[in-house]
Amino acid sequence: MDYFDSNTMIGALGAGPAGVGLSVAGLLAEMERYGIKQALVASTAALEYNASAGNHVLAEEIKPHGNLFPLYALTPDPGALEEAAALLPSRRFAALMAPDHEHHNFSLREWCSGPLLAALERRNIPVFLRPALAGWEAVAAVLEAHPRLNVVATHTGYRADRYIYPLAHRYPRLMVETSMYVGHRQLEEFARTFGAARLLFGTNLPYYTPAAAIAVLAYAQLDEADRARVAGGNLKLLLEGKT
Amino acid sequence: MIEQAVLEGRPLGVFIFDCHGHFGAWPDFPVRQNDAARMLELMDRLGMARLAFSSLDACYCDMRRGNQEAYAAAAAHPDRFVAYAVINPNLPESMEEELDRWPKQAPRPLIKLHPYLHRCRVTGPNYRPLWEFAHRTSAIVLSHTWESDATCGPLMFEELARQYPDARIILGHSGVTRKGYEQAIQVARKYENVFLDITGSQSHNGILERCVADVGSEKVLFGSDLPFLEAAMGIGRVALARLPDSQKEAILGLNFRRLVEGA
Repeated sequence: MDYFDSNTMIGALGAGPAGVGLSVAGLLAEMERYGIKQALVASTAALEYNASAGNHVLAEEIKPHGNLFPLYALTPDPGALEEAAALLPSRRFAALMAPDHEHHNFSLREWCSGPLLAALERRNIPVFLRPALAGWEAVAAVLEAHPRLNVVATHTGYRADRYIYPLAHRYPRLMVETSMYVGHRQLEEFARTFGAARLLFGTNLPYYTPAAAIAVLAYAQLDEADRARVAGGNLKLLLEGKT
Repeated sequence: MIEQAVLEGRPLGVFIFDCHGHFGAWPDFPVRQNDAARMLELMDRLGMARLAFSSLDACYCDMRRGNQEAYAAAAAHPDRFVAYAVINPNLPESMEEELDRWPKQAPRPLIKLHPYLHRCRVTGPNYRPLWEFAHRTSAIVLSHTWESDATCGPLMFEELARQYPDARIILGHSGVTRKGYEQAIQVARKYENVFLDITGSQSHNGILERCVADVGSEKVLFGSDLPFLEAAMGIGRVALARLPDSQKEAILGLNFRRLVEGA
């Protein structure tokens, strides 16, 4: 299976448990152990310290590794997108927005993030949001205001379907990352209802073992083409701007 | 062999006895394919021989009705299901009768506690008759636990393990969070009658290997939370762990079988 992990992170964890954070070499070793060929990678420096500085660190660290793609942390600060896009100009990337007070502390609403979201929409760059932190109402507002923007809900938890289903019915560009979407038969049911094209395999490394996400997908009642889409095909198309 | 089966989505081919499942529904997200037939279908797909479950109705709401439903479902498939008796400590006058109603599917009683949902401290006076019963009968007591929770934080079980050494205490979810696991490991290391159940939605990287290193593989039990959580997740965590197959087999089923059969 060609796994392309949509949810990984490298870097030290300021407040995290000792021994959990992964260097880029550590991430590559975990990927090899579990047969994960490619990964979209966020940076603790960008998420927990400073978006701009952390994006530079991330780009520098993954530059030698063509199977790693940056998930840059973006804020509504002027020029943030252009600065990130210039870091590894030949490498596809996605945007991570962390608007909650514990991270970058801004609003996803139009009066604050509208220009950035419009630019991402125009350039067909997917945005990754964590609804448990951003709030489902804010995610809904983004989808409503930017109908051509691909939005990936990450770390959703297994209790979120009463938010996810109405939004997924209404907004076809909402996708779900699978690392915490682990309710009984949940993945299969989502695929049956909305199609496997809207699910992205994710492990939540360094926090979670890839074993969980791999097994959930391996045993899901999907046909093999759909399983391959979820494992990596969907993310590949998303980064290439082909969705 | 075990790893390859998971990667290919095949039944594992080893004995799997899940120590932590449920029967019924829940309030806060959609319920799907939770009837006995669908659960058995999934168990077959995974290669899971047996499942010990407890009633969710009894955990959330009605002890008597819920247990009765779970006992009936287990009685219909005695080779696959075994039911725990859920005890609600808010009904102390019914406790003895409810324990008597447990259908004796195993040599020793299987009891499930959910101090968080029942809003009652597991060390409190309402639970004392239950712990005395468990000590007297060498019962298996599976309790929900959560890191530092005021009703069921793992460290609260230290006192119980010491006072009731013949009770077999399973720390459900091992405290859930990474810090919760640290607390659960601390207790299980110290007391022979405390076991770690790895059921849970949080698949901390390396935590299973840490449990085995710290308390020994013979005290670690596989659980899935079926049909609440995706059972394949728990299977994968064990099957793809950095452990020898012999330890994986112990965790997946042999340890719990030995416990249920009275060891």
